[in-house]
Amino acid sequence: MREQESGTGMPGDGRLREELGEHLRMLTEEYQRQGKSPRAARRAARLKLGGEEQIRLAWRAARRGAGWEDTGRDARLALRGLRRSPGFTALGMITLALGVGAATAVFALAQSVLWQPLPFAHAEQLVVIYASARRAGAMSEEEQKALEERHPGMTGLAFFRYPESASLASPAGADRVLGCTVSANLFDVMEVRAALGRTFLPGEDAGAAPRVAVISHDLWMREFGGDRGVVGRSVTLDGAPLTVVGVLPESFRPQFPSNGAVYVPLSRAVAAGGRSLVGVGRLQQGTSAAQAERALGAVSADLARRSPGSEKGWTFAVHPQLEYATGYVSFQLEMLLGAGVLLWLIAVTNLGSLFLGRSFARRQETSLRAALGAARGRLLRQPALEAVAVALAGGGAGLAVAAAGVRCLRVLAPTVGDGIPRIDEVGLHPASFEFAAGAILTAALVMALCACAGAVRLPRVMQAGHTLGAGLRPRRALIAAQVAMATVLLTAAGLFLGSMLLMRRAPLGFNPDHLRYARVSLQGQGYAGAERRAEFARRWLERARALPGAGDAVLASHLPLTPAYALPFAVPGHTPSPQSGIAAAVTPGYFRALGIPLLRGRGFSGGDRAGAAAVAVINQNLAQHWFAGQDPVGQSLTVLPSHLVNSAGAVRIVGVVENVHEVGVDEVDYDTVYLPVAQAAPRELMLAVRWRGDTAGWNAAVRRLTGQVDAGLAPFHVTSMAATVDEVLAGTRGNLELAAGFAVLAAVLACLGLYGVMADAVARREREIGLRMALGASSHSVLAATLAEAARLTGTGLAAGLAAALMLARLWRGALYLDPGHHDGLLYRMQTGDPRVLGGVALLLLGSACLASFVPARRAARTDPMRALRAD
Amino acid sequence: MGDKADILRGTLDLMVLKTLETLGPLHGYGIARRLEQVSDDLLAVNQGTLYPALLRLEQRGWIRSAWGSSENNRRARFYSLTPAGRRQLAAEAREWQHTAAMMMRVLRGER
Repeated sequence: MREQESGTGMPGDGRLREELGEHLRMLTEEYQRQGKSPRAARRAARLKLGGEEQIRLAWRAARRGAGWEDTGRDARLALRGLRRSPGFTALGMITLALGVGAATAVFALAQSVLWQPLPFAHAEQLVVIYASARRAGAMSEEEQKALEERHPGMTGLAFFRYPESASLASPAGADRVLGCTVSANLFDVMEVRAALGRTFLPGEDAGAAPRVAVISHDLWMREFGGDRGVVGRSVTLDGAPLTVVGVLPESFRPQFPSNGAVYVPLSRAVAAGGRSLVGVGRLQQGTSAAQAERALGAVSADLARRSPGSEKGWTFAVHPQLEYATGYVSFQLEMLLGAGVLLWLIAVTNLGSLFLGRSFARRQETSLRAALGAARGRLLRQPALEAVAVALAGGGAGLAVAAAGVRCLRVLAPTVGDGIPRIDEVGLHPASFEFAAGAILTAALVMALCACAGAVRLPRVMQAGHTLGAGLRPRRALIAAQVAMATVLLTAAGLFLGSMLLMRRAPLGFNPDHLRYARVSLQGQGYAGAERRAEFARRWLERARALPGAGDAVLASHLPLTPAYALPFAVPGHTPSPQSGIAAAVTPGYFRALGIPLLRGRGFSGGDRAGAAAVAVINQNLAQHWFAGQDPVGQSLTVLPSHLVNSAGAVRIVGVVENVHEVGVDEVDYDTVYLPVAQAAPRELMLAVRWRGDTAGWNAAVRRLTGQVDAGLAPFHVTSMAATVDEVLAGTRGNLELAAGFAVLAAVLACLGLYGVMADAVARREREIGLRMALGASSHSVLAATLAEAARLTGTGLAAGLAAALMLARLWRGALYLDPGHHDGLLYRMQTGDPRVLGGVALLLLGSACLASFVPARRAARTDPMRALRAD
Repeated sequence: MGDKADILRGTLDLMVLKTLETLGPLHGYGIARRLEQVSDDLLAVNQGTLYPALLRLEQRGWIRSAWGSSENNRRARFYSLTPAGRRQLAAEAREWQHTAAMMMRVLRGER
């Protein structure tokens, strides 16, 4: 008898037609039984049944599910509801806009810098190859040759040297630029075509001196005004004439292989000696960097067998190019992203709590509507639509906040750490919009669920009045969670602050007070011979000492905190060898002038001249690393060819000095070798003077005095050591400003949430409070009780937050600390469990929580007992 | 429209459920007649509006339907209460009693 059970598939219109037909027939029969004519009965039946078309429409609407035709009306109701409470709506939107905006902005930063492929064809195949022993370094020419013969896993291999500052002279004028020496096939391996002219031809690296140059798009615009006639023009780079053959495309961004402006072919005819080369490879399809690195293991093993001694202990390290270009900021950016996501979570928690409060406050109204027959779906739909409307509006505003945030980050970026690479590629890319959409939709879902929470398991109408406290418990839990997350962010900010203060106070190892310096480059043709350079140095220093206002004056090829050159050296009897240290050629009196303590032996004297016995002073790091347990004074080192010395030679150690901060405020680990200027004759010199005058006086004096010695030479980096220290510290300041910004936002959001829940709790308990006061409680004790409640909530969150912060710190322990030899850490001489920081965070949060709940607490204390009792 | 429609709909739903509980499986015409008898004029005209309501109740799982044969041996769709419908009826009846009691108190001016 049964043909179709209900629930199996969607009933079609046919079923309705059949049912209505049967209904009509039964009605007609009924009317006929009552004595009507068949026609009249039929007409009456039709009238009673109603318009068939209308019924069909209603039936179809019901079939479509829970009445979507009502959704439009509910949406209007929702919007009207939101307009009626503008404070609530604005608070919700602003909270979400801040949360989504901050998280999206830092996501855009991380995505653009760390994950977006570099702008080269098949960029994922490009790798960078170093040599590595104790730490990663450049390779030697022998290693280059071995790799060129055999590079398994790669379809192409090129080399470059780290760029050096050079002076470029063109008809347009003179400028200091970064010159980069690259093998002729570099652009072919990277599949970069010139925007104008050509790149290098095979064989253009055969000669002893480069004859051609390729310039960057940036330099082309800056120096040559984008003139297309630049190809074929002559320029001089450090006195050597070159012909410009091409301009690189704008997309050849300066982050790789370097921020070079002028590229010249790497000469194969002249051996530079030492370790100065870095490889760029293109992997075969389907080969990973790790596989290629394993394959190169055979090449380095072979090389060590063939030429035992100098190359022992070195292997090749292969890194994806993207990692080479931006990997050093990945930890920082990931931490920042974590902070952004935490902020978003706080915002979402806050919104959940807001909507939960609204939902429970409306419970009585909802119960009444339910009792009067409103469909459950509609009861839920309206608050859900309200939540979604706030989420979409707030999220949209969040995108605007994110766009502004990205602009801020681009401005801040140079001061974050050592500067963030690829910063000009940072923007809201499609991936950022996907992230924002996910953040907004997740928030909308949470908000909608919270908005509906009060409408499920409704109390009976008459009981609703007695369940005023309902919904406060989940809200309290949300607030505690918020406080916990804010605690984590504030703890991180506190640790950064502490690190920065410690860095500011950290001993630099030398005295920067009133120290001014300027730099010259002796790369030009007039300074090919070492005697000419030594002569310049002697006369420059002589005139500087005669300057009125000058105290101690010395020369050095490298000063603390300024860019340093590597000096390869070998210690007899040690492998792996050679090692790379920092080189500084200095004049006699240098250590005394800079305030660097001499620990053993002597400093340089006038007797350490060219032709006399070669001597060196080493820093304490080198003494500890290589002469542990012995007296290094009197022993010897082998210095290898580099920019300071032309050929390998033994030098006798005559003294040991205290370590200084060579390149940054936060490290102390480098091995440094000091050589006398008279014996090394460096191509770059810095004049350092204790100057009692002002900045303008120093600038004028140093230009005048340099011009007197050589009219064709212009000093650069004319500055003070104080400015350099500030510059070096700027990185920590940028980190701190970002962290502090996030922490303040987190604290403000947590306080807003706390204020909301306390105000709500007080409003709902007005009757209870009134009753207590009627029974004799003083307003003072009510105030205290309310504040205590707020403090209890905050305390719970605080305890959880501190525990979470300590746990996270334990998780990242290895990466967090800036230790000697580990330069990516974020904390400097700070322990994550620092009691001052943890105590400060606790006080700050408790204090602001009390402040946030003070207004509701005072309202509670002023409750009029009579009014409260009469109410309801 | 708005809340008034909700009220009407809720009332109709409740009466359909109650009818099916009292009389057992019925076709649409039978339900309509019963409603007419007990509710004066709720469905005086437009008996056809019953069918969308029946479909809605069916989709909520409170009633189910199957083809059967009517008193005069013609094919007709019979509706019956599900266990969920029975529970819903009990719950709604309680709600109504509360509301009605409250209304009575309010109208009598008690309290």
